[in-house]
Parts: sequence; structure tokens; C-alpha cells
Amino acid sequence: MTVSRGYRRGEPVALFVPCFVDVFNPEVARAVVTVLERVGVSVEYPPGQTCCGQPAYNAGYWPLAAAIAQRFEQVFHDYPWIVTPSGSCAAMARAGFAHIDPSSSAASIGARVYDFASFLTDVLGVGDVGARFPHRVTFHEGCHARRELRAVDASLKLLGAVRDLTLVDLPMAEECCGFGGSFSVSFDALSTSMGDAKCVNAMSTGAEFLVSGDPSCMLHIDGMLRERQAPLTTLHLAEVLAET
Amino acid sequence: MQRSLDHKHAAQTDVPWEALRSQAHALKADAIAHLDELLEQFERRFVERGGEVVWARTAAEAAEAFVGICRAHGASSVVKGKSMVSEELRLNEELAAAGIEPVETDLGEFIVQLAGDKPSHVIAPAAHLSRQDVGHLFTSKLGLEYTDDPRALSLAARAHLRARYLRAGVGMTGVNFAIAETGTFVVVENEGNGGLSAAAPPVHVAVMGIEKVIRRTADLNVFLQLLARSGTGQKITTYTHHFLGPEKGKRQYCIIVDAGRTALLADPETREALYCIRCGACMNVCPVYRRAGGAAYGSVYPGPIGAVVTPKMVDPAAAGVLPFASTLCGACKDECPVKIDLPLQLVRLRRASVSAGTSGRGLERRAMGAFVRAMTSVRAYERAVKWLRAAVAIGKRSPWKPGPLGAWMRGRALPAPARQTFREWWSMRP
Amino acid sequence: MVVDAAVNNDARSEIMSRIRAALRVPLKLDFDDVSAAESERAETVAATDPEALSARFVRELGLVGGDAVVVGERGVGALAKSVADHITRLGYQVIAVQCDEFASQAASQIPADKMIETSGASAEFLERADCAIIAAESLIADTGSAVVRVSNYQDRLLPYLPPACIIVGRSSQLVPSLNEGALGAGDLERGERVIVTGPSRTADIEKTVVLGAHGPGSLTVFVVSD
Repeated sequence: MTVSRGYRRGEPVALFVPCFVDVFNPEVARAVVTVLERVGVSVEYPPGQTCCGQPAYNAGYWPLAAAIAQRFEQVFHDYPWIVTPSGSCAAMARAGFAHIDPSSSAASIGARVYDFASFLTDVLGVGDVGARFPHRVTFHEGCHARRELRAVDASLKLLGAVRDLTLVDLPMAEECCGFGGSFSVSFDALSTSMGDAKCVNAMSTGAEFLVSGDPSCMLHIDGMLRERQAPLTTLHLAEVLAET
Repeated sequence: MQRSLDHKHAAQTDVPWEALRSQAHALKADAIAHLDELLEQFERRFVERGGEVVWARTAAEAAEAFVGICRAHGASSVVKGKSMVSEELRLNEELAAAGIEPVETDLGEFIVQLAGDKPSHVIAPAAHLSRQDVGHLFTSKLGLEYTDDPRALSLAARAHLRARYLRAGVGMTGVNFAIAETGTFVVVENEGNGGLSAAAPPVHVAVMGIEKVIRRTADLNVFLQLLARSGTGQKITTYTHHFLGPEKGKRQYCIIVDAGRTALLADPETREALYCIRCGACMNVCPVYRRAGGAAYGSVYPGPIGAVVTPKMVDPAAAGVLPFASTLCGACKDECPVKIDLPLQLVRLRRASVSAGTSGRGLERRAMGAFVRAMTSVRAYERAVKWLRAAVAIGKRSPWKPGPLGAWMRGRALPAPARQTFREWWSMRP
Repeated sequence: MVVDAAVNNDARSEIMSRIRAALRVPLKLDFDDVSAAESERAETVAATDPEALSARFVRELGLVGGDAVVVGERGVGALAKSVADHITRLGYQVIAVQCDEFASQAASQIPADKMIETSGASAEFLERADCAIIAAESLIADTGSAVVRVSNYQDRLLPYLPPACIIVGRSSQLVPSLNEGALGAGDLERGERVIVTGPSRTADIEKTVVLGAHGPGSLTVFVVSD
């Protein structure tokens, strides 16, 4: 990921917590705070934040999405660095805002938004956050992070530095898990078919944990794993890195 | 699937793949941006070489012209090389109605024609049939002793079709690239049926969409390095025909078809879809296409490119459905040899559909409105969170699972809202 | 003009005006430097020596199911002997030769009673042949391809009708990759230029590759040094 300049010690970093993480998986955001503070970053949480607007954008409701994007820009206006634990939300800010309206102020804030893994490796230049996680783990990269952010290498680098962690390759890793936002309910048969393949592949690794940088994928995959009562627990990358 | 993807990617390592893709995109962008000029130049040069150009505004007009050409030359049968455009024209039906026999010669198309079926894939039309299916089909329709050996079946098709080539009054091919500079055109294939369809009958009719024209023969170099590698993992197809104009005693026609392409052209947001070189790579890699199959798209063009072109080019009713049948994973964009940003095209089509009212049923529109309102202020957001917690609690206990809730719960557990949101936790932090 | 001229002109005008109207709204082009990309491509096509080109050609043709025969001795006489031996060894009885000087020279040592006259022949007559001999215009090392020019009715059927196909070429015709020569179209040329890469094939039944579809199941390219 191209970075305009390096991080200067002491600069505030704003945390963007997507709505669904705030409500369903706040432990993910808490883990992000833990890790960032451990590496010496001062984290701020602008309280006016709500959403990046991706659900509206993906569903074709662009005027509504534009309003949310505008609000996002206002809330994070003063921050040179904005970090989020959601790969898909980071991609929305970096690319989606500009597609809605290239000349808007929201379009230009996108360049300051980073997914958690890329922020650590590309901005802070940190590969080892001093974590220890003595378990067998497999990793799922969400499609937005994989293809729009090209963040796979960052995530794998960070996992590779975790002490006592055994990382097993996920078969067919590049195939979509099938969430796709409203696709998950509008085309639920296709969605669960794709999710099923992801679950089967994950379980075939014999891993105890399925780790991901995309909490939206995980809502869907976790829902399927629990329905199957699979012996596999989903975790966010930040939660693994928070362990010592 | 993984094996064929790996094989394809292996075939890409001996050429500067990314540079070629960028070049191809630029060449197509230039050609489409000058489409009128290049089509006129192509027509002039094609006619100078002794051919005749027919213009068709619609698929029906093109089919009518084709039938007219067959009648004028007294053709009672037509041998057909592979052409997606001929499916748009419903050419087989139109010919049959005119008492002229259409003979599919591409093995996959031949099989599909025998079965009275429709092609399910751009490159492999009979991909949906097993060897046993084909074996039984050949026994019942060709009187062949049953075999399911692909080699024996292919030889049987070859023998059966031989006489058809030599008797046909007209041979039809599609066009992969029409070159404005020279008034010539290129057709690629593996079986040899395209070459025979063009060479054996006294009349060769090439049918092409307006978007097939490129500027110079030198440009072919770029496209030919990409096309086979993207489509089938080969470096090049077995036969790359460069047709140079009819030799003495032969007639050559080119039917140039619009059939909705100018509609794609007219919208700058969908114009890029016209760069497509019909390689099939996007559908090969699409997890939705691979599960749903070609027939599910209800269109001549399936897969990601099909979802983009069908609403404007073929069927406006598809606008409310096809662009939404995707997770926007982007695998197609990564594979596309001419770098069409398919996911962006799809999401733009969704926007167009919502604003035109062809999608977004009442419930969805209201739900989206409610969602957005909840995101416009922290107070509204917090109210919505309270509502959500209550709704999930009820939903878990209630047997009634309306719409999206029911759809989610077919195969997935519901996520549980945490006792304390991050926002609440942060506000209590010392 | 077979199609109604007035209708055709109307169709043409309407399509053209739709195109012009559409293009009045320009598309912002991200890629304006085609030439830079082109020069990168040119660098990767390194000039290689004849031996390396020949070896590459043989290997690539083999990979697509064809055979290459590099004639040991120089000259067209050696080529003719090699071709005649090949035909005898494989038991071909009926040979059809392209109407071309080099092809005729390459076929000169085949017994006359095996040869059929292609000039003016009907397609059914040509169907009797079990092997065709065609002259190459150029040979492409990168892909194992032979480029042939066929401009009359009979010659245009030769690459496909017989179940076996022989293409004869010179080592001086070897080029590294697809180029202007392979892809060109002279103003006065008619018929077609075909880039032939291996025997015909299909994978339309369960994606199983079969060599020998509508064209030949066997393709042999002879390369001789001048």
C-alpha cells in the first residue's frame, strides 16, 4: 500500500469502528486499541462516528451513501491517520467515496484510511507486535482487503511474527466467502453455498482458529460454523495480536 | 477449478502479463473512443478487397439480412463456426423458419444443437453435459453405437459434419477482431471448423458486433497474446485465421450489428464493457457463475460480463436482478485481460436500477432509509442499537422469520449483540 | 448488392449517428501512454540465435501435440528426402500438395502415383488425401506456430481436410514471436493467412482434450537450413 509519509511519533490516530463491530464484536475494536497502544500509538475515538456507508453504496443507494460519507469526512476531518479493523470499510473509504463523487471532500479523506494490518506494517513499519498465540490457526482474507487493498502480505507478515503460532494455509483462500452484504439475504442459497465451501476448507486445515481481518465476512462464516457446530472458533487478527 | 486457474496463471508467466493488459485496455479504449471513424475505415477497406458490408440496427434486422444473403445465393444449408452474436440473432431459429438448415460445427455447439439445448458458457458451450450424456445423445440422434469416449465421439462428429461443409451454400463465422487499417478480420479457434466453414462454401458471411473493430494489425499482437491465455490457458489457439478478402470465385460479407451496443456506448459508465474480447475468464473464476451455471443468467452472455451488458444490450428487465447477483468480490476484475472494472460497473448498474425504481422493493427501500437515518446522528444510532437488541432477542425466540431474517437463518446462526458496545466501553474508560 | 441498398444505408446512417451522439460524452481515459507499455513489451522479445530459436520452436510445437523435424542436411533435396521417408514410414498413400513452389520441391521425392492433383480439384476429391503438404511463410519459435498463406479454394481446404498435415519451412523463416509478418495483410492479398499451432483439438466434452477435431489429428513441421 502506498503511504504518503511516515507516521510521526505522538501523532494521534483515530479509530473507526464500523457499526456492526461496535454492536456485535466490540472485543475486536478493544483488541485494536490494545495492540496500537502497545506499539506506542495514541488512539483516539471520535465519538460522532457511525458508519462508512458501504451497505447503502453496495445496494445502489448512492445519495444515501454520499450523506454518510460526508458525515464520515466531517467526523474524521482533522485526523491524518484513520485506522479500522474492517478491510471492507477501509476499501469503501479509499475507493467507494471517490466513486460516488470524485470531487467531494469525502473522496480525499479516503487516502488517510487504513485497514489495521496495513497500518501496522506499511505506516508504522512494524511487523512484530510482541504477540504470543500458541495455537493452530488458518487465515481468511476478505475480498476487499485482498484485491482492493492488497493487504494479504501485511496480515501474513504480522501472523508470521506471532510466537508459537502455527499457521496453516487455507485451501482456495482467494475464493469469496459469499457474504456480499445484502447478497447474503437476497441470494441466500448462493451465499450459504459459498460460505459452506469456505467452512469446509477451513475445517480441513485442522486449525483451532479461523482468523480474519474482515469482521463482516466473519459474521457470515461464524454464523455458518456455529450452525454446523464446527470445532473452529473465529477470531479477528487484532485479537490474536493482542495476546501475549 | 483450482487446477485450471493454476494452469492458466502458469501460461501467463512467459509474457509481461500486466503490461499487456494495460496495453490492451488502452488499445480498446482508443478504438471505442473512435468507433465511428474506425468502422467507416474498416468498411471502406473491406469493400476495396471485394467484400460487402451489411449494417444491422437490431438482431432481427441482422438475421433478416443473413437469410436474404442465403436466399440470394440459393443456399439450403449454412455451416456455422462459433459465434455468440449468432445466438443474439437467434439465427438458427430464423434460418429454420426460412427453410434453410443451420448446421453447428463447433463440437460443443453441435452437441447443444443436437440436444435442442442452449450454450451454457462462452468458450465451452456443452460444459453442462457429461460424456455419458453426449454418448447417449449421439446414439439416439446419429445412430452411433454407444460410446462415452471423448475421442471416439469427436471423431464421430467430424465424420458426420464433413459432408455438411462440402454441401453448404453459406459458411458463417464470428469475428474476434476487425482491423480498420486493412479491412481484414481475425477469427481464432481450435477445432478447424471455423476454417472449414469459411473455406468450403462459396459464400462466407462474418457477423460481428460494432465493438469488434481495432485500429491496426500491429494491435493484434497484444490481443492474441492475451486471448487464448485468458480463455483456456493456451499460448495461442490452434488456428488464428486472418481473412484477407474473397479470392476469385468466392463472396464475402460482413454483417455489422448494433443490437443494443450503442446503448452501452452512450453511457460513459458502461462503455468499458465494450472492450470485452469474449475470453470467458471472468465466468471461469466467478464463484456465483460456477454455482449457478450459465442458464441462470437467462441471457446469451452469462457470468460477470453478462450481468453488465445484458440489462442495456438485451433485456432491461434484467437490470433489477443480474447486477445484484454478485458479492462484488473482484475476482473477475483481476482476471479480465482488458482490465474492465466489472465490480464497479455492477455497482453502478445497481445505482441506476435503484434510482430508476427497477429494484429496491418497498421493504428494502424503507429498511435502507431507516439504516441511513440511524447513521446520521449518534442519538439515532444509539436508539437503533436498542431496537436491534430487542429485535434479535425476539427473533431468536419467535418462529416467525420474515424476509431477510429468515433468509439469513437458513444455514446460519444469528450474530448476538454484545452486552456493551465499543462506544459504551470507550465512554467508561478512565 | 444482395441486401436492399436503401435499408442498408438507413441502417448505416442510424448506427453511425448513434455512435457519434454517444461519443460526444467523452470517457476519462486513465491510460494515455500506450507507447510506454509497448516499449516494455519490445524489450522482452530478445533476439536469439538460430539454434536457440530452432530448439525453442521444436519444444513449443511438441507441447501442443505437434512434431517438428529438423532436417540434418542443408538444401531442398535433403528436405524432399526427409519428407518422402516420413510419408513412407507412416504409410500415407494419397498426398495433396499446396499450389506452391517450395511445397512442390518438398514433395518432389514422393512417388508420383501417390500424389493427387489439387489444382482445380473438388473438395470431395481432396477428401481422399490422407496427408497434405503446405509451405510455411514464417515459423514462430515462442509458440511453435507455422504461418501459411492460402489464397485459392483448394489450398484453403488443405490445412483441415486430410487427417495428417505436413508444413515445410526454412530455418531462415524462424522468428522469436508473433510479429508484423505473421499478422500482416498486404493490399493485394486475398484468401487468408493462417497461424497454425499444432494439430486441431477440442475439449468440449467434459474438458477432455482430444487431438484431431475437424482438422488434422497430426501436424508435422519440417525445418530445413538453406
